[in-house]
Amino acid sequence: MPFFTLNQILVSLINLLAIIIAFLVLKHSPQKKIKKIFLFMTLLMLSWVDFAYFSRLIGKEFPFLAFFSLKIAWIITPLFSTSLYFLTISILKKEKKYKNLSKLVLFFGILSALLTGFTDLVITEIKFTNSHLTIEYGPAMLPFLGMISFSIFATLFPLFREYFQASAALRSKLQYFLIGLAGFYLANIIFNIIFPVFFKIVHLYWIGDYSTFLPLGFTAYAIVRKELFEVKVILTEFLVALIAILLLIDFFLSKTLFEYFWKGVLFFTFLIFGNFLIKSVIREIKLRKELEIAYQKLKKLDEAKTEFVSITSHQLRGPLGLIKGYLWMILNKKYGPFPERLSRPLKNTFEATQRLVKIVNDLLNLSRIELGKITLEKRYFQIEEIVDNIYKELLPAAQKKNLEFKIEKPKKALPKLFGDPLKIREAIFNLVDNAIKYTQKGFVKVSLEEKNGFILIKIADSGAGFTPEELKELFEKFRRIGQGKLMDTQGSGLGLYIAKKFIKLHKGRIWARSQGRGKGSVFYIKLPLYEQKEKEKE
Amino acid sequence: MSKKKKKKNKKLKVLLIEDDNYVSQLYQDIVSFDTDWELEVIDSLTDLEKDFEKIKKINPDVILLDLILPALPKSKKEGGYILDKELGFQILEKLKKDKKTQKIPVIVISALSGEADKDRAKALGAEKYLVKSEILPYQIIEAVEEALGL
Repeated sequence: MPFFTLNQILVSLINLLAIIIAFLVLKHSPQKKIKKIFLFMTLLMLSWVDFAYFSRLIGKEFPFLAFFSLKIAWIITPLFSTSLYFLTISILKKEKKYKNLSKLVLFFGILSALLTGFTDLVITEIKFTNSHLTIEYGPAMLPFLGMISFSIFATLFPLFREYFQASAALRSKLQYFLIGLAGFYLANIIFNIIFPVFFKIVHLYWIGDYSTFLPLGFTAYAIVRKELFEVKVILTEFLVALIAILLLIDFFLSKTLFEYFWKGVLFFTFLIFGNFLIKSVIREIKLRKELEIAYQKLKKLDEAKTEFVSITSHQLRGPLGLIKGYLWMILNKKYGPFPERLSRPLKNTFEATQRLVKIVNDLLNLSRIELGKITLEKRYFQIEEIVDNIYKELLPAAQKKNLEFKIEKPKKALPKLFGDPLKIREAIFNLVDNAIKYTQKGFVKVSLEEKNGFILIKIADSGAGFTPEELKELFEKFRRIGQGKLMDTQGSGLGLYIAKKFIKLHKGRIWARSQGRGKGSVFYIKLPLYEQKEKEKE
Repeated sequence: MSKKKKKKNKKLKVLLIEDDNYVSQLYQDIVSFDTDWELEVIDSLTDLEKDFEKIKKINPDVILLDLILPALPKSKKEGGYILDKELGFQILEKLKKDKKTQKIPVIVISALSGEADKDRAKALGAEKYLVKSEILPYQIIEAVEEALGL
């Protein structure tokens, strides 16, 4: 009979899976209490399924034994439901809060179990028609259903109530648990209560019975999942166990001694390799976890470093501002005249202070870039004004070195750019400042032009230049390359890096060319005008 | 150097809220060398309400406000003062909310140069925002004159 065959397969499969799952939970769950309840639940579930199946199997030949067996299955029904309640409370860790409810659920669970087991008030007798088992219900059937419903509601109530206050991790656990519970309750209500009691449809009972597997399976997954011995390990173990059991069954089905021998060898070899496989998967996951932790630590350290740079720079700026202020006052004779021989040292001190301020600002910009704290204050501005302003500020330095320093711009005013003028200024300033620093004689030329929807800023000099190898690290942090390293050590080594970051923030491009060491260099900044056009459309 | 439009007989009164004595000395020097303004200094803040009353009493024409100021720690166990930029922002907010003080221009002079801090100060109603390490002394005087339309 095909139906029995299907049933046989299902019952064996459920038994097999339940044992494996119970084993997995025993191995991986950290909470002893949950382990105990879960084991108990598995036992109840298997008894329910097996006794219910058994009663149908032997029903015709041994009606009394079948009735007895079915009764055991029915005693277990409320107990299983009760154990589900206690598992829920344990997973939620709310044993104290629902102390009174627990007592009530336990009382009704035992009461309904006793009622079914020791009286004939719930199940009066069983009949067989067309090999299907029909149960005659007694007068206590409705109270029995009432008590089971109570246990169901008592389980769902705290579950939903705590769900919304639970942490994200617990919540994702509870979701699996809920899916399992919902499937089980639904299947039971339909196939074990509504169909047989109200419509006399009895041959589908097994769907309800076997759905006991749902809360078990989902709960097992939820319990084990968090420990994240991960699905991968669980699946590996599951598969290894499954194959091992099948091999063992195959072993016992051997017919000849030789068959016993090679199947036995196969079984043990598989056990050894299976063990290796599981261990290697665990090792791989552990390693990945350790890497993840190490990475997080490094990331934190890096953030701490950046934060440290940020705070220190701020604290440095206070006294620096003061020194700069006082020096300016002295230089401008606010405190009265000073001997002429002090003029140069004072001016140099003032300039050094200015440089120090610039370095500290560079460091601050760096920490802001790395913390992702840079925000652009965008507005329309005229690029020529910015370049003129930089020219004025750097002209004294260029004159000091007798450099030809000039700006070339088109006669007609360039279209306005839309961006953060301070950041753009910083970027251009760093390039021009560098050009003057690294040029001993000759020229520094800054030119501006409009080209295909872009503003192109070109800074050409006859200075130190660089090799193609050096170009690769030119725009990196803390780089001072080739001759630049020898000539000037006062910079922070951050100027080009910051310029690149700021230009990129404006969706622009920055690059450099040089014919080689000592052959001068050209730096380019290309800024798009399209953002402006988009703005105008709006 | 400055010609006053409104108060012909009275000297211009500038209030400086700054905890660093070196800084206030420098500002005092600048003001005394280049102007005939009166500079009052509040160098420590402890109680927002009381301090605010003090400011009202002084009734300055313009306020120079530092943002990072010493604040009393929240729990007494810590002892001493903690430096907190929130205090500066709180004062600014209070100044701009109170009808008596909201018209007094406030120039923030701070070591903080972050855009977020600048935006916040401006949103609260600060007239100007100067970064300590970036300005030269004369720029403070310029800023005051600009804020008062002198």
